[in-house]
Amino acid sequence: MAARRTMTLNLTEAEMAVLVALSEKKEMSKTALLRQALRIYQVIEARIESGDKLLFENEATKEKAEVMML
Amino acid sequence: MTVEVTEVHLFNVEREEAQTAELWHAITEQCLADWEGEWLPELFRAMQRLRRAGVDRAHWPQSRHWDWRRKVEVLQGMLANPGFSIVCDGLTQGMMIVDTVKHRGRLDDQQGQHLVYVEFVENAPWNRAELFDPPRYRGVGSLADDRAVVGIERDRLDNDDKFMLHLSQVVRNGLGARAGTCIDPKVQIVDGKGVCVVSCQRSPEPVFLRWKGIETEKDGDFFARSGPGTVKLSLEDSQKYITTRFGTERPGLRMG
Repeated sequence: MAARRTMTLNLTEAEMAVLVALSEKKEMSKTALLRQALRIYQVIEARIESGDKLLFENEATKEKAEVMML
Repeated sequence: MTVEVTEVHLFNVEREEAQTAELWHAITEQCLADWEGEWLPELFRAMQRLRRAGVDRAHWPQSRHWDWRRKVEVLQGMLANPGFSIVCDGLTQGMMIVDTVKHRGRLDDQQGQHLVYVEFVENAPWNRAELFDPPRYRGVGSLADDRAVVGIERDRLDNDDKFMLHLSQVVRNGLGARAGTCIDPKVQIVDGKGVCVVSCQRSPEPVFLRWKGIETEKDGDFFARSGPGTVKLSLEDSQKYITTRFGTERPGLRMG
């Protein structure tokens, strides 16, 4: 098994509620969900650094909205 | 860099037996050196044979222009794109890069869920039946697919005990209560997901499969291993096999 490190994560009640809701919705453990979030965050950062924009497009209306990453 | 290594098995075609191999949870410099020094020369020779045999370019290996070194450099460090390689006999036998972020399930019961998408997968040239007859190893592609672990959670039973009870019941329904005592399911955690490992003991008596009414024989169909596969034996062949193997008569068969 690859080396793993453990850390304590302090979340507010609201943050924990979101984590629980998302992990139930995605049928993943909380750890798996946070790992997935980290992967997605890294991909977004890499694409933005290379000059890409993050857009959401409504499939029905084709309306596009840029997500500003601060 | 620490690389996770899992023991796996490939089928050695020449020796007709399973051979121990390693699944590396990374594509290492050794893999890339094998690709450049061993795969590419074999691939070029194989394409030369295809050209001289008049095979249309459309049927040449699609991966002939792939540059694995470039792919690994571009995706280096990206958590969303882990690479895997299979090593056997000191040589890389297959490589794969997956994407765990950009694709979502489209089937009704997986709508919107994350999935593991195989971006690139390639078998060493000598393992491809379309290039080498016979190929050296079989099973590289299946092992690569197996990395896409979804976990028994996908079956949506309340807990591990209920999953194993359900599995045991399915086995009893299809193979009978006595055969059901020959299996031993256990749940192990792989990549944070529950995976059911089923150990099977050899049955002391013949076992017949009756499954949802699709069996062709009233008492069930009989299957036997044949090389790397499994074949369904006809009524008479199964009787002869059972007499030789178990010293009993197949139930329901009355010969002349």
